[in-house]
Amino acid sequence: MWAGGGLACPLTRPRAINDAVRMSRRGVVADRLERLRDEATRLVEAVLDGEGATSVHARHAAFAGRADDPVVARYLDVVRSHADRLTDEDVESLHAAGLDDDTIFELTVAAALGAGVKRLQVGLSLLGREP
Amino acid sequence: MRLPTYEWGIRRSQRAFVRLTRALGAELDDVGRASLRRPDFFGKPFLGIGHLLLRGPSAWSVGERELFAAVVSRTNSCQFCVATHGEIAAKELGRDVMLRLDEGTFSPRAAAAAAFIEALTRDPNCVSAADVERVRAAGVQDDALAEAIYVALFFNTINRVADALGFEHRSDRDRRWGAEVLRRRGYRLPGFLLR
Repeated sequence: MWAGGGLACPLTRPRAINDAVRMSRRGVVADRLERLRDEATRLVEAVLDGEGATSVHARHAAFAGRADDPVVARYLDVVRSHADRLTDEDVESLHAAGLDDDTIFELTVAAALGAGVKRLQVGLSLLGREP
Repeated sequence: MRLPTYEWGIRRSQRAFVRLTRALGAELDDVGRASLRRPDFFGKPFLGIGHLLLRGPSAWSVGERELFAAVVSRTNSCQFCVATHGEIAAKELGRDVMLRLDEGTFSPRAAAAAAFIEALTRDPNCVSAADVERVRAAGVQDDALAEAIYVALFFNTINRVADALGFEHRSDRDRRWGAEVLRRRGYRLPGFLLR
């Protein structure tokens, strides 16, 4: 009964758990969504504006699918559209163009995150919500 | 992995940890490894949202959330992520869960949300309010669909990183062990690894 009936046993459950049980299900989920939004914001800020080997400008551009260097721009375009088609040679060509591992990592993550955030924005806006 | 300097972390303790997991036959996977070198840039915030999203109280069970992860990853043709999250979903919901989903014999509520994030993953410009109405008609609350959309954010990001940087499992045993560790412990790494 205690496990399945949704009632809190004051003798066996710590107060914090009883409080949580009393919260409405909607309240719990709404709180969770608020935390998810905060964590998503933290991730985007770290990737785009945190310390990095690349400039903030370059990461914001990668997030939007752009790059000044045409070799990098082509690579990022594939990261966003068909990353599964990328090969060892594609990354080797970036190394050959003078990009080090940190630069490639940062631009790749920024471009990938841009594709992810686009889906978040579209999905939540259809629900009438701000991402 | 296509970035050699991301294979082992950067500090002695990180390298020792990766070697230990290898010796134990449950080697840290490439997402974990990539999280070590630049924890403030990627590892900490990425695993932070991942653990919150895929574990803990939710409108969806752990198995359903892992199933959403596998669906997004399959849509992006990310074999690395499908292999891990499909395995966790199968352990939670049964070996044939993807088949049941495809055949329309899995939970209609979860199937409707899965179909929505699959379409959102394939082309976000082609998803409409009518798609949302279909999910609502299946009994999915908006908050629950919003959670599924966050799963789409997370895996549309990591699928691309994994495929671009050539993430792979070193063996099928590593894959299965890695999935089991994620299933039991979630998406957290010991704090000393992310300093």
